Amino acid sequence: MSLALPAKAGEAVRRGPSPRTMIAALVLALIVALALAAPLVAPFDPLDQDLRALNQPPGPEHWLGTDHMGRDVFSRLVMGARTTLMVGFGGALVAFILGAGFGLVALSLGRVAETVMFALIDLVRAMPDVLLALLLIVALGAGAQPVVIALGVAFAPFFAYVARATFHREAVKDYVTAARLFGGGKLHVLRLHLAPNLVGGLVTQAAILLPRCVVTESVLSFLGLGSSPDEPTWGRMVADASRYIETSPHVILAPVIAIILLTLSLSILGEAVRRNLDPLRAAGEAKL
Amino acid sequence: MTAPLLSLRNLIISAGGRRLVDGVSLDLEAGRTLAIIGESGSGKSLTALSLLGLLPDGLEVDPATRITVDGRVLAPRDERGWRALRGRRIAIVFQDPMACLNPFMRVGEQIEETLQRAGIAAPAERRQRIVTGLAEVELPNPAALATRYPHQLSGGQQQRVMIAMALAGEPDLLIADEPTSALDASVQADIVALLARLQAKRRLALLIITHDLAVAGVLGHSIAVMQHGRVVETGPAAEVISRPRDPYTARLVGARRRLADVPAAQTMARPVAVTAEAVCVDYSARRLFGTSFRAVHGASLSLLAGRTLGLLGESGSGKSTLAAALAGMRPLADGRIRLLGHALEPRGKPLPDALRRRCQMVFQNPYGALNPRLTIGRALAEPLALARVPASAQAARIVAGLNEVGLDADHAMRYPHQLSGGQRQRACIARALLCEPEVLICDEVISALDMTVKVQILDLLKRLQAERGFAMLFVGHDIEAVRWISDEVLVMHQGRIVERCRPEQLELSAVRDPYTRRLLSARLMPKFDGAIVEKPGGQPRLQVSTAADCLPAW
Repeated sequence: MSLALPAKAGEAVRRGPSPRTMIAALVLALIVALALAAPLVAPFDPLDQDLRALNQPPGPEHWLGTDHMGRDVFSRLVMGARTTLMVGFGGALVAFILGAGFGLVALSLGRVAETVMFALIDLVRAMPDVLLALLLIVALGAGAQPVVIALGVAFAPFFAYVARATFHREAVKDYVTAARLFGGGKLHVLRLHLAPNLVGGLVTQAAILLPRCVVTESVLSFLGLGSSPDEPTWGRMVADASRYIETSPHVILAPVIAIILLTLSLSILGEAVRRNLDPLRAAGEAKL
Repeated sequence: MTAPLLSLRNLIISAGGRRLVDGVSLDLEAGRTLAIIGESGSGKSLTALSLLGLLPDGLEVDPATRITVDGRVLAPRDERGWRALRGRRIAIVFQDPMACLNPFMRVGEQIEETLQRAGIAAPAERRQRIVTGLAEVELPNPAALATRYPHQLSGGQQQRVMIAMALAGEPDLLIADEPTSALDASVQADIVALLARLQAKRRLALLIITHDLAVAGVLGHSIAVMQHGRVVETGPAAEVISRPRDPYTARLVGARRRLADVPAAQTMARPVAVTAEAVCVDYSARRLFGTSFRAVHGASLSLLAGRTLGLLGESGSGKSTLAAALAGMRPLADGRIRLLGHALEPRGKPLPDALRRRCQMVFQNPYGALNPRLTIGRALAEPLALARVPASAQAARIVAGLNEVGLDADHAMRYPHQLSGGQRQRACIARALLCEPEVLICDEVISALDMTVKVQILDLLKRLQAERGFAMLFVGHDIEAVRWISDEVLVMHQGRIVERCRPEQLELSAVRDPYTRRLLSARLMPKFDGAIVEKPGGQPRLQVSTAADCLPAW
């Protein structure tokens, strides 16, 4: 049964972003701007200890109060945003390059290579990602760089799976057969027909994994395995403040709310990116 | 005669200011069959849905619309009123039975649901009714069949179950929306014959929605032709088909009639483009140590330059697999293909790119054959770039190629989804021809298109072949189309070529193979000379021979 839909469906679909997406973009822009301008915005040195004012509530001098060592929470928050964002985005980027690269090499080498190489990926995936990152950090040593690499390896399988699924879905399309009939080789098909479809899926996956990287980084810092102690990160702030959660809850609330805001806005934006790049949406308009 | 069972006055359905159905009025009396015929987008399905109060949300129905069922006026959105009628007074059978049957429920349970809604409380009586219902749609061994799941039945059996379900509530009006379009030709005839018998036996008012003139002509007492949301012509079936008044109906009938006339075959010696000798093609096993499935068994054929070979078969007959093998796109399990002088053998050398370009394919679904992310112009540039045509020369070749298939240079800017099905298929043909092929393989190229567009595409292919002289393999399941375009016809069944004849010999009197005979006798043909005789009392007026009638008597 076919239903005639208005011919201008394409226009109706291409409306502007929803208010939800706009708010998420604003929040993310604010966090990134604060992180970039942190040295200018932060009223105090994030490592400066004011031992006369421990666990102060928010006030005119310390906007978000101080922690158990008398450090200004707001300054630590904006400075910590730099590390947190850097490690989160870096981890997602490394995962993207590792996963998509490894996956595409496996796929273009043929069925046997694909089976063997994806068995390896399954092996990596079989371990919980936090545990895997933990093991890697223990092997590589603490600091921002090892964390980025650990996150990248832990999340790379997701990108490889997405690449494989898209590849197999597109490879059976008639236009790929047609391209082969025109004498197009594997590289040609990959470049002209598969790459645009792959980019959509992979970018979507990156948008979904970004918030997970931020959270995992915070978890690692919370466990004391993240970057070095003199670099404030949101995870470390949560870890430090957790001991004083009963006496001064505001200290832990600040980084927790920041993490929630960042991951929420990233998730909403990721969802918007996914919807906009979904190949089914572009293809589905005419078919429906 | 009393008031009609169903009366529809001035049905207007619009979406966003655009009228999808524009002032349709219909009457249907008990014991009569009305066939609504039209192409996709003509509004025929929406009209049918409105008669069940099932219109999708977001569509506006004009307040002037009046739907009267059995003397009662019903508002289009009166859910409570419609629910009382659905299943009990009015029932519907949809196109795709697999999509309509719940895969988790046994056949009997699904029919029982209808019976329960119809108010039959006693379980014993319901069981009895399920068996008689399944027997009524001529399913063998109904008691056992009721315990099966839908996927264990064939497409034709599923559709019979759907009909049994629709009839379980003893409705007075049965709406069948493209009931046979998803089925193979030989099954289609059986279902049409069944509907005709049931209609006569139960004195049903039957509303058939179809795009197929033959189905409408065989089943309908009267026919309403729809185009762009309007009824352009109504009248007794025989009259509409033999003496169409409206230009659109005339085009529709003319398209079908043209295919019925087989053009005279030419006899001229031609060079051979492709030969196949005892070709076998396997689908490899999905699992380790699984057995592979042989889709083509020992097919031999030869394709001459400038001639068309028709390959006729139903779904699953292996015809598309054979076509792909001939283009060098599938490894052979056994046998040998000579394609333009190159030998293709099991585990042999692959086709060199320069030769591969000389053999092109056009596919069934023109949407899947065009990358949705590329404009038509960029899609057409692909074969040129791969053939190392300099970029400066490409644009002129693309425009020339588009003009050759009846498209404009403007179309190069558009994306596939901005074109109609016929235009997309033309673009696919233009793209294939840019390779200057010597062999063109058309794999069900017209199956997804509307009738009038089908004939245009067939004309186009024939003209292009005359101009360019390529050899063509035309794969299809539509007997008329294959016969019309081909110089020789092969019939495939279960992976084997069972019949090989000239197109004009493709008649019941001339073919020997039992399967081909079955295929031919199952064909529905409207009589263009007005030979359909109106019989009183709603009897089926045209005996459709079923598969059993024409099996050879051994």
